[in-house]
Amino acid sequence: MASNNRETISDIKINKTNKAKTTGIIKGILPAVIIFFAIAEHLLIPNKQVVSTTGVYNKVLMASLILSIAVFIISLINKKFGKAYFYKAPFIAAVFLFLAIWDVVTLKLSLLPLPFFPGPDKVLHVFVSDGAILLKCALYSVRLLLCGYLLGASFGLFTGTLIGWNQRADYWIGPLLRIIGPIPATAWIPIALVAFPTSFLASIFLIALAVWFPVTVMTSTGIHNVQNSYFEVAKTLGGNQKFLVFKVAIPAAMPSIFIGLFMGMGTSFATLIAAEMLGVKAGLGWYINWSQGWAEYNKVYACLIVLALMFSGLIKLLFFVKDKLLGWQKGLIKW
Amino acid sequence: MVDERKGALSFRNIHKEFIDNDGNKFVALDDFSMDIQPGSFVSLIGPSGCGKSTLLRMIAGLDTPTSGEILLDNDKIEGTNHERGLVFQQANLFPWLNVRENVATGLIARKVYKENKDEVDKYIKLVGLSGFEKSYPHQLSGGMAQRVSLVRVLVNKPKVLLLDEPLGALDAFTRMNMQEEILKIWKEQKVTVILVTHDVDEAVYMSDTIVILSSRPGRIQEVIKLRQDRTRSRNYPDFVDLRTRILEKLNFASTEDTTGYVI
Repeated sequence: MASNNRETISDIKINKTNKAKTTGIIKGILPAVIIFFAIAEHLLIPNKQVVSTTGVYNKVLMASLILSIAVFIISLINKKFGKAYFYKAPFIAAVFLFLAIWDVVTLKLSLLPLPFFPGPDKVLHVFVSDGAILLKCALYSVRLLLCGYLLGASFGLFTGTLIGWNQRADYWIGPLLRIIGPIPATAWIPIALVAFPTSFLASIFLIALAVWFPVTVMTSTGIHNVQNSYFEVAKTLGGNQKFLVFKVAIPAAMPSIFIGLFMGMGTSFATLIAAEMLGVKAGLGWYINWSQGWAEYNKVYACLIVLALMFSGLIKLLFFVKDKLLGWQKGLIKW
Repeated sequence: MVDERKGALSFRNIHKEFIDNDGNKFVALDDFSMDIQPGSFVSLIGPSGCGKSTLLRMIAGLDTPTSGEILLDNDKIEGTNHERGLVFQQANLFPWLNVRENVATGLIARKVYKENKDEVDKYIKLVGLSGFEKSYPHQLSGGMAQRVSLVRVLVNKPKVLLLDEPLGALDAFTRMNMQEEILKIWKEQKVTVILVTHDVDEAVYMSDTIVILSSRPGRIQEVIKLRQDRTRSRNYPDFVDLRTRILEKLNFASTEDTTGYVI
């Protein structure tokens, strides 16, 4: 009787692991299945929108199908990779499902009005037809953004430290910061375009201004909030003023400074696009505006995809820098 | 020449007043005068608010006396200096620096780190923290953190080592271990130690001079000199006698009062 029970329990266990395995495999093959149906849908259902298809979407789907099958086979061989892929697979499948639905409601059923809502084929085709221009615009935007961001962040660190450390600086600069700082940098566009010789310089100024405010505020707050005991320790160990500022105040305020840097990054994106839409004759913001002027909304969407990749990449980069510099916080604070 | 430390302290009529938030003046320390020989181990003991910590902060240079002056080897104390190292009640390690960097802070601040690199490792070893050089403060136990904060001061080779209840927050075993370590360091380095403590046993066990302070305003109530050559033992008859005497001074021992508690 007892041994019988044990058997059934182990049977259940085996059944359970088998079940987990099969669900894993089903998850793993899901993207390929969805992509297959997306291809079938795209090729078999007749188009209702009166547009020429370019075949790019079809090619992308075909490539994705081959890739997803290849990845599936690899994940069957490599257990570790498989586990990671099976976890991600449902999401990947959902992305292709979204593409298929998008294709159906636009190209196939024409439920959404043109030219505002083109199908995936039209949008993907932009990367082929306009790829070079998009790349050039992206590089332009990155250059402008980084110049402005780095300039604004350095100035923000400088003024923030000054205000946080020196009472007289706080007296004179503090009010300026509190009153002028909250104005969105984009509101300065008309003045900046007149005050600077080129629109490029004007945009750098605007982006720098957008970054400067949050970085300054968070740096000075961070320094204000440093425990006094740290300064006392440093003083009794023989540290001078310079040491207290650079080796105690700034490192101690670093977590707060990074909040400012992240906030600044958000405002810098907004300012970049606004500046490019209004004054600068290059960059992704300009490209969006220009495409809209020609009612080429497929280009707008393509550009949005580029922006999404670019901005999320930059945020990831800043997170990387943060993790490097604030490694000591590991296990202390969760971000 | 390099290691010729002195560390004679003299206090001349130290008076310290504070003004609280309501504008009331109160005297923390009054008429405090004494001389401390180089290389002695002095404990300051007394009830809360007797100005012990204030006195320590004034020696460190973090506070200044309202009147009177403190001399270190005949020079008036003004501001902070690495010659007067202070170990706080809380370890106060810099959380963004690892153990080694924390210990090296004083040397780096004084720009003498390069020539004293080996000292850092020597001191880390001295308090048994080898292998933890790369650990960050939040990964350390309370005792380990306090050890780091002790050697962070010692690596500066101070003439005067000021200890502001550094063992107060530690458990009994760690505390006794660290008492031994501090005594060992004191004997080796011939540094003048001033220890603020609430723990009468600690004061009796460790010091060769005990200064009992009265409360509000803090004044010297009694100075007890202990035999320098005595055996340091925690259950020596002298030890118990002395402890009773100090507790009486502090009004804690019940000699005549027999309304004992029934436990």
